[in-house]
Amino acid sequence: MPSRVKKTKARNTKKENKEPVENQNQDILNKENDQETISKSKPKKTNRQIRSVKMLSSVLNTSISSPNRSCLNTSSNRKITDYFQIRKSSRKTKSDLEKEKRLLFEDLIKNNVEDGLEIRHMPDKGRGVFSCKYFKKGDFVCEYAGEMISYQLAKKREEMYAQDSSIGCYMYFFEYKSKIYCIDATAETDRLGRLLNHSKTEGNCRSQLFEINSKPHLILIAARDIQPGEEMLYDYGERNKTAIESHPWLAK
Amino acid sequence: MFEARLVEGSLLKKVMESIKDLLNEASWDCSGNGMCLQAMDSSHVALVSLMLKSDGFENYRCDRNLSLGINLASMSKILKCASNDDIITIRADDDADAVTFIFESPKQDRVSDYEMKLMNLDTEHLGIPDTEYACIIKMPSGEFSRICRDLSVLGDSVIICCTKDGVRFSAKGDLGNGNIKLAQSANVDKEDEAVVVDMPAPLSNQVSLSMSEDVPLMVEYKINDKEGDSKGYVRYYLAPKIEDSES
Repeated sequence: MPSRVKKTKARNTKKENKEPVENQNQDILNKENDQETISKSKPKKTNRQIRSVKMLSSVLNTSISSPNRSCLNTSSNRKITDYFQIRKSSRKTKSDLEKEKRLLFEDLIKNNVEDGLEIRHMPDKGRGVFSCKYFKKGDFVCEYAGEMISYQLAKKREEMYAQDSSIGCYMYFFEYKSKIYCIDATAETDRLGRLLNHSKTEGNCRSQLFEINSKPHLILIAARDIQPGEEMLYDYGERNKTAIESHPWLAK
Repeated sequence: MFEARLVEGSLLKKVMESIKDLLNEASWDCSGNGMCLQAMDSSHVALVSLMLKSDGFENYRCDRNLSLGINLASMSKILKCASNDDIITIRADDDADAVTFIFESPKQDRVSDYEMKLMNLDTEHLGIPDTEYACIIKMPSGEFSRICRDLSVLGDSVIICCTKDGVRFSAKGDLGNGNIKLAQSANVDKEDEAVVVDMPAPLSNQVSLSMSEDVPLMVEYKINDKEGDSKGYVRYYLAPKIEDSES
């Protein structure tokens, strides 16, 4: 295409753009107007943009409409994306997957979700929590919900609870940002996390700290694939000799 | 490591000339099959799909698929430093942030190399479906560029109307309207009867327009080497303009 043609075309566009535009609805018209406005501040760059749009029409003879061409005011240019779909890979990066999992867990914790679990009574150890759905390794099971208290208060309460043999063991100590805290789930609630039994060797869940808005939550995660009907067990993590002596079931 | 050596360096220069005005930046996707580029213009009306087959290169090595994000204007500027008979080598490391162009004169007495920074482009690829076109027009590219040039005087859009007898290009604008009819004739069949028009470096002597109702027009230039073997293509897809019923 000879350069002479291009130059005249560019000049035409500028002249036309100064005239009022009747049809504002057309995207491309607006785009060209935008370019014209920009061109007042950054003339050099915009000229190239106009030229590239013009080149499109001159080299390939497409149908970019320019303002005030009366015959074109009633038609609109389709986009190539109307015909060809954008191909997106369904594969996700590891960081994306982790982020998704985090968001899901956050959601589950905030909504106190405890799906797929039921309480059963056993003659030998009392209440226990059983799965009634399939858990995949790494799935969220439930939150160990209770009252979060400081270590000092927890120690006091522990002494208090120790006097009453009818009260079970529902204190969960953990370290968060190098301070020891405790979730006290002694009070009877309808939450299930507190009812999971201990197994040192046959646990199928593990506890994990999960931070939401810089507040720690204790959650239980499936440590392996869990079939429906299995008892949910995890290691309470108690290694203190005196504690094990006073509660011999902790060793199992 | 990616390395591609193109004896006919002018080919790459022509390819760049043909896309640099339409696209600002694009990424070259290099794989074992060759170098591909797919990108839309800023208004998303046109799509360029470009392929340089690996067997078109004298030497082609691509250890790992890689994507070279490139500012096409810069690449075009650099390629202007190469003479038309130069041998061009493109080289990039697997995780490089720059690509090197090496230009060797045919007698090997002048070797220049240019390193160009790469860009991090977030590219979207469009899936181009296989289309059975209702009509495929083959004509000398010079003829086509002349039609485009002539009709651009009248209007910015063209209607391509294809019948069994021939094809009609028409454009209308404020100053009037114009039609160009081409009969299906020798003009169509004789492949190399191109009138050389001073279009910037025509990619090939032959252009084919493939079209169907309400699908994008495909304008294809095949890239052939001196022996006439196909070494790739440059395809432009243009979304049709839909005329409203009132007009």
